[in-house]
Amino acid sequence: MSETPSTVSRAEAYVNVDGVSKIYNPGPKQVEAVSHVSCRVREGEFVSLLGPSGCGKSTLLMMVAGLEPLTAGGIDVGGTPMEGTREDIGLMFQDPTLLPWKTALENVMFPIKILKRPDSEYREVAIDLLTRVGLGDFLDKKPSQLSGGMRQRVAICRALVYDPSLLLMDEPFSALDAITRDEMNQVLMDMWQEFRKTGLFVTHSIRESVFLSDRVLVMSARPGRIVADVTIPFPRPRDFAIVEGREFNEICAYLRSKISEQETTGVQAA
Amino acid sequence: MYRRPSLKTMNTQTIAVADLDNHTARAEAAPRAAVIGEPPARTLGSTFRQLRPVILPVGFGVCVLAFWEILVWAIDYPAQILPAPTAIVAALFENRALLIANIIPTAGVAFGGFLIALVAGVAISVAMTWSQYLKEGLYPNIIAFQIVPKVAWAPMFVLWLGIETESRLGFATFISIFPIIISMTAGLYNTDPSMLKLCRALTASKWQMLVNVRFPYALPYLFSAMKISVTLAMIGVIVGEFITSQRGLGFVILVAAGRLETDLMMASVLVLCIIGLTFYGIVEIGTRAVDRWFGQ
Repeated sequence: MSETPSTVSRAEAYVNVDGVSKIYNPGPKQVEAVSHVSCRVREGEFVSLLGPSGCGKSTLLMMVAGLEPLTAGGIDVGGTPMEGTREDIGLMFQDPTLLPWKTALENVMFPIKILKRPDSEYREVAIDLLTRVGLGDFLDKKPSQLSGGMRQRVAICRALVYDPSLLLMDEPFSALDAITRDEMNQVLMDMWQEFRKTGLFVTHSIRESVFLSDRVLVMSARPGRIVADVTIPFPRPRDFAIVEGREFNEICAYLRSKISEQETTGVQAA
Repeated sequence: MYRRPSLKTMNTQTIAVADLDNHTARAEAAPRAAVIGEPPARTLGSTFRQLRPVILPVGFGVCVLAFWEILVWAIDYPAQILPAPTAIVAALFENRALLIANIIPTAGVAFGGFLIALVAGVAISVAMTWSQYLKEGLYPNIIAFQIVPKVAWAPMFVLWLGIETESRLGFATFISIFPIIISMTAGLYNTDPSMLKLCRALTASKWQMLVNVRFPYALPYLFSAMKISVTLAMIGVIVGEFITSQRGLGFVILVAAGRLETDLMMASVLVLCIIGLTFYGIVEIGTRAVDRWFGQ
């Protein structure tokens, strides 16, 4: 097992999170959601933030997206400090978050409309993306006519259509059933293989994080800190068959031990 | 995903339940082997179950009218107090010229008031979504004002706007604007928070968020408010006509009541009923269009 914290030098980091803390309601009743977190993600790398519910991993992701102000520390993406939201970042949420009155294609085109980019140039891109995720025959269907997995596929396409360099995903598949979830992991894997964005993926599923990632960062329970940095050695493109393998399950077991170790320490401290 | 139960889906459920009942009844009555593979035949019973949502309310209404008619004839009730339904229909026919002439002042002012309330109400809601300060200052006052029985304000409108159409139009607007503001504001604020986050992440402007996300999300709220609002506008106009008017159905009712022409009074109420249903129907058509647009 190769646990190699802080091996990413500042120079090769695309995302650089430096001593970031987040405190809600400063004062006597303050809640420290994230505590002095530092991590780096290389360009083109897929990194998962793995941790129990409420460990502040989503808060950290929202800070990287520029949607939450930081209490302390600094974040820069692509060498530029984050000050508010930016066009070069794509987002996915737990819910597909589609506009119910718009078709699949119109939903994918939504960022193009907001960013005021030329519709005609991106229409082909949107259709191509939807076809790649297997929705070529569903371009004109509204979200209510699509299954949960199909809706998340639309959301993947929407996050990619305007060609952001960084893709931030906040537990995008946790609302799906186990079978659809495996399917979606494969879809995301294939899309990522094709487009090679830098990816930061928040999840509480150990298996999912190992299957998808180049590196898994384990976060402790609140206040969130990074307690392990594990490199996943499987070569790409990966096939879903690897999840049955011994090495895969050893890595999962190791990550699980890291999480429960933290939980025990947390109980002792309390 | 935003969901709103619609009347349409409720009806299909009712029919589905009725079908289920039907199948259970058949399965119990017939040998099991005969049920499997045999398409369910259209029996008299199944036809009734499917038409039940229509037959029951219509049947109930007809029964009440028949009872009323028979009762008035049987005990020879004075027509000045309670005319028979047939007498009301006769009065409707007899006074058709008078009634038709008075539809326009009432229905026109009511619909006009409703339209002004719609435009102004939506504008006020959008303004409150735009400015948090305006919302915090204004919205609690609107809610508080909503609790006051607004009919009590009618004489003030006569003082302010005179005895002509303006005061009735003003009062109809006043009484019907509250549901619009309250529902529309709720709708504009009830937009999926993740959707707004996505917009912010895409560096969308306030205006882009309003036009592309908030406003469309609020449309179903607006349409359910419009159903209430259009009814209130009618009440507003009738109350106004009771106070000052020289024409309109409210005026006809008042004059007929003075002359103890109860059949004409009730005929006027019947006409009001038809106008009200027409307005409601127009809004309902709009509501269904919005539901379809939402892909329901």
